[in-house]
Amino acid sequence: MKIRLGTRLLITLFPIVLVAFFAVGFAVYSHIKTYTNASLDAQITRALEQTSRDWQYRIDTLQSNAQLFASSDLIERYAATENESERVDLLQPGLLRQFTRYQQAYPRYDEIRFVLPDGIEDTRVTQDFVANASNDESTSGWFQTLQQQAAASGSAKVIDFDWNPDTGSPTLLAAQSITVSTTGLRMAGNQRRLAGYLAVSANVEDFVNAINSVRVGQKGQIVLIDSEGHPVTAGTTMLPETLLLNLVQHSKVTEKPDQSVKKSHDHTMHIDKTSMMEQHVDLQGGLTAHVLVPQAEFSAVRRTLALQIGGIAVIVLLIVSALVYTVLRHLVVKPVECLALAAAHLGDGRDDIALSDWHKDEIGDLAEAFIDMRAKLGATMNELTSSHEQITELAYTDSLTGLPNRRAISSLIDQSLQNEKKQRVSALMYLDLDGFKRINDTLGHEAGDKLLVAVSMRLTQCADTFGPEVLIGRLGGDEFTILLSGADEATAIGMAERILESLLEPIALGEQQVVVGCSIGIALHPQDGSDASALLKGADVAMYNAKRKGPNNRSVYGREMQDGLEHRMELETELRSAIQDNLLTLDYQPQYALDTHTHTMIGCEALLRWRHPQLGFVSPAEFIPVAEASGLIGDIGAWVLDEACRQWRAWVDSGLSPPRVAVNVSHRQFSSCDIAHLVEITLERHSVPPEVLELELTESCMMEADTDVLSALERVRHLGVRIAMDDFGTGYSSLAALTRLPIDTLKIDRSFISGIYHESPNDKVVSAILSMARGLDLEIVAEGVETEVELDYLRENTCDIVQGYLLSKPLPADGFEALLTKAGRLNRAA
Amino acid sequence: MDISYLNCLYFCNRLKNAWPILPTLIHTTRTLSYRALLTVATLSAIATSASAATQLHLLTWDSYIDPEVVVEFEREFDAQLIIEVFDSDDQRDVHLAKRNGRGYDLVVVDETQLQRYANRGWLAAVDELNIENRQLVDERWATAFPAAERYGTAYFWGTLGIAWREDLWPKGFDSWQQLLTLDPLLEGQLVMTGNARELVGVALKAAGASINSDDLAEIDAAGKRLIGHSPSVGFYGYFNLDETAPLITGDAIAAMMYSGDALVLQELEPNIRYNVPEEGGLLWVDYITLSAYATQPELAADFINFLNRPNIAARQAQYVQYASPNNGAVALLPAEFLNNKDIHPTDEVMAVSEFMRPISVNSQRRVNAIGAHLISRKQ
Repeated sequence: MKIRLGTRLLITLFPIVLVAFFAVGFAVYSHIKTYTNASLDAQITRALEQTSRDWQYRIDTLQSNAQLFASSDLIERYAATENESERVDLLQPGLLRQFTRYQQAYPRYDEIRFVLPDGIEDTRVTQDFVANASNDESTSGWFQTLQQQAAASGSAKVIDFDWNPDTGSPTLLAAQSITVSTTGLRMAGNQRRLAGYLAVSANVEDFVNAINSVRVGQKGQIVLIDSEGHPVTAGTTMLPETLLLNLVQHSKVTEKPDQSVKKSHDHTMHIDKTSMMEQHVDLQGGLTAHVLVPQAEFSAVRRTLALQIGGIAVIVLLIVSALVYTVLRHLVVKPVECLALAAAHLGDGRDDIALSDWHKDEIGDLAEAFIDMRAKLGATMNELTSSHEQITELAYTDSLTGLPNRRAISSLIDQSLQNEKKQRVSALMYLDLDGFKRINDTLGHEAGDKLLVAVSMRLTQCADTFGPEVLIGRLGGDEFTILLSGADEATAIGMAERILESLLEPIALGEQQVVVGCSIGIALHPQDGSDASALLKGADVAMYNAKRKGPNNRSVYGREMQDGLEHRMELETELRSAIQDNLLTLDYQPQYALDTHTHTMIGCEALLRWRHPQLGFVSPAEFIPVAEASGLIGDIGAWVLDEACRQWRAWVDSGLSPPRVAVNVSHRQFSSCDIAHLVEITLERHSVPPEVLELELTESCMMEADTDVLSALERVRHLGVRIAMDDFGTGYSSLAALTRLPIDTLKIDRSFISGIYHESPNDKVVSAILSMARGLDLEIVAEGVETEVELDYLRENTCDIVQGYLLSKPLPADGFEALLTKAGRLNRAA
Repeated sequence: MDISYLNCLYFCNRLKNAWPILPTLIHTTRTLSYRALLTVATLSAIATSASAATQLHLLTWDSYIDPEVVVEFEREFDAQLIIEVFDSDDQRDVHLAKRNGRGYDLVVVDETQLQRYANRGWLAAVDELNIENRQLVDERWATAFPAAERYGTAYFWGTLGIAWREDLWPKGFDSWQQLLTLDPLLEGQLVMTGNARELVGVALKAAGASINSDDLAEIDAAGKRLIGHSPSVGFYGYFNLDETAPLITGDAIAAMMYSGDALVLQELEPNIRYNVPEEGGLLWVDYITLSAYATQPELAADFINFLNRPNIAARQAQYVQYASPNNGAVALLPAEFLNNKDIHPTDEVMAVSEFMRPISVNSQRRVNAIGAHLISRKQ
């Protein structure tokens, strides 16, 4: 049926297309033919014009040279000398010498002559010493013309083409009269008499050769005919004798008295059954230039043209047929087939044929009618189906990234795990972006959304390298999960590393570029859980573990965490004995006010140090969490506070001027005792003024702080002690939160400062933080300043205070004391 | 360009140390215009010191006056003689035709052009001026040519013959016939005169005709012979009578030369020989004439008179090595000079030699055309 309908349409349309195309083809053919003729015609005209120009150039040059020669004093003096013997004996050698020089300068000038008024050649130089055919020119055409002109107007000038009677060469002759003053003096207004003529003959063989070698079109030629009807050829002509005869007759017929008028006529000549296209122009000096182009040349062009158009016609016809067939198939055959199939399926009680995108035509009407009918027949089922689809769509896909949402991914993971018939190992990753909240707050939600999309693409790219058995989903917010089916622990760690690496590349958000970190937790199937919920929980725990290790970390649930626990217990024991044995010390890192010229130390941060006899230097990042977890933090915190105050007092007592001291406080300390009270009694104990003390709490601490903690802080602040927010930027403080918090100082986390410069990826973030802090009237301390570039940047962006290795590393108490002593001396000296 | 062959020479009697350079200055070359410039530059400073002296302009052949005679004249008359030189009669004609005969007080003219110069009004009559020593000039020179008596004072006379290097061409040249026969060994080795009449004349002589033939067929035949012979010719023209002369340098084997010039060169190169060919040489006589446009006619007359003092004329003859027309001088000249048959040819030679006489206009035209064709291509 479908072949019948399509073929029938095609058979109907084919002749129409064919006829239309050949009509167009014919029009194009005749247009191009006209154009080709016109172009050849123009070519002929151009050739004639060029010939005419070249010839005129020859004439102009020759005439101006003749004029120049004739105006020489010598020739005038010569002509003026009437005594013939005197003239010839005395003056002619000079004139001959002059003529010879001209000739040497213009080798094409075959003959230069001085002719007396009666036509006798008086003085003559020739290029070669050829015999003179006649020294009487009185019967020559050019001479008679000269004589007539001279008789009429006193002076004469003639240009003539002729054959040199001595050499037989084609020659262009310029002659002009020479008049001399009757009084012998060259003065204006004198009577002048005709004394002779100067004639310069230029050999134009080269011109004739050039003209003869010109081809117009392929075979067209230029033929020069002289006034007597002889063809002017320097070599052999390819034109048949009869043609020349025709041309001669032709030029005689169209002879024109005015040689300077150039007219051209189109002619077609038939010579020896050859049809020729002809145009001609009359040249000055009695020549006519004819251009002859065989008509065969035109027909050759036309034949090629016809073949080309025919060829194009066939190709176009094939393409049009194919197109028409395709279009017809799309417009008629397919819809009809589709409706037919839908009708058949509907008969079977199925409704699985999509009927949409109908053209507004009769078939469209038919389809609408069918759809109506189908709708009425299965309204309930239809509604059910469509709403179900919608729900699925909304419920299982994250609209931002296009990834499965939490719900969808859980069930997908479950499905995938169930499909693992042999209980193959699998790994589940839980990813959480570091500092996403900060980006959302500083750059806006739109930027945050863009970032999430960009991260989801990176994740997809990385995961794709694993293979087909991978599932990615967005769990919500900045959390993602990836299931790697069949991956063991090593493979999962490798993938995690790859993801972390790929996220190190800055992500472009509009004009800004940001780097976002990520923490990854990995849980393994089956040991860490058999279903999605258990595995996600494990991976989440592992992720938090990773996050604790710092940004851009990954952690595996299970053994590693177990190991960590054992390590912590060991540390806890060690730490207890360290406190008892008084092995903890404080180092002090100076903070400098960032002025344009000098750096004034205005504070220092007290840093807890544990130098273990066996383990060596134990990082606070390692033992503080242990202390927090075990409750030892309370004792340690109190010790730190006391030690800092004691030290300050000791320095003051020894006559130094120590700056204010910042002490790190963990929020856990707040739960173990009344911090405000502790601070108060400690200050009192060492007689330390409260403004000297600053408490530093990390951003995450602040964010987690409840109202009790906040009120405790308020009280501390009320004492006159400063509160600083440490590690700002790593948590998720929003602007709103900052205004609520009782803080005086903001310490920008070292991760932002490291490697910062103008237009570096963190530039926008840091400058935003700085301007924001200024707006809130907060003091800003930049931590971890290590290079001059960073310092310059901070100075340019008006950061208040800097702290870092570039200025001074943390110093033991005695080292810091030495620094103070030095500063004190300088101050006194000043 | 036109002036390149004319070199101005300034003489100064006040400055003795100028003398050592004078011999080279006098023998100027045709083409060395830079040397002429140098000469003017060197001597103009000297000339200003003598600017009070009256200047007398003389147009003559190169090396055609004894420099010592010039000095004596300048000293005696408190004058400055400025000499411009030409190297062929045709050159002089063309030069004067261009300036319409103006610019000089005195011009040395050959016998053929004397009449025409006079006809053209370029010359002033001298017969009525009181030039005492003119009567010492042998009368035959005064009567030999029309206008000679009225306008000319014979200066020197001589022959045009062949000079050659005997060491390079031991065969020698006995005839014009021999000179005009194409010989591959002589290719480019000859210097022929730059005067059309003289050229055609010797070709006519070689063919046994008169140099004054008016037969156009004979002239055309002579022309053809000359054109055919041109491969042998290095150039048509004349040269300096000093060590740069092609006969001295060996650039030429033989040259058509005036007898006295050949003898001057002989003193520099003893291998040079001179001969009046057996067909007969061309006789010539130069006249010193007073220009119609002379600015110092009286001083010019004094100069003519001075030159014809017997002792001066005799010294001059010995300097230029030409026969003197001055009878007073002949009486003073040594026998050795008078017997030199290169200077005073034998009667046999004189019998076949000819002076150039005016020929018909058509003949002259043909001669001019032949000359122009030859000379323009090898100058």
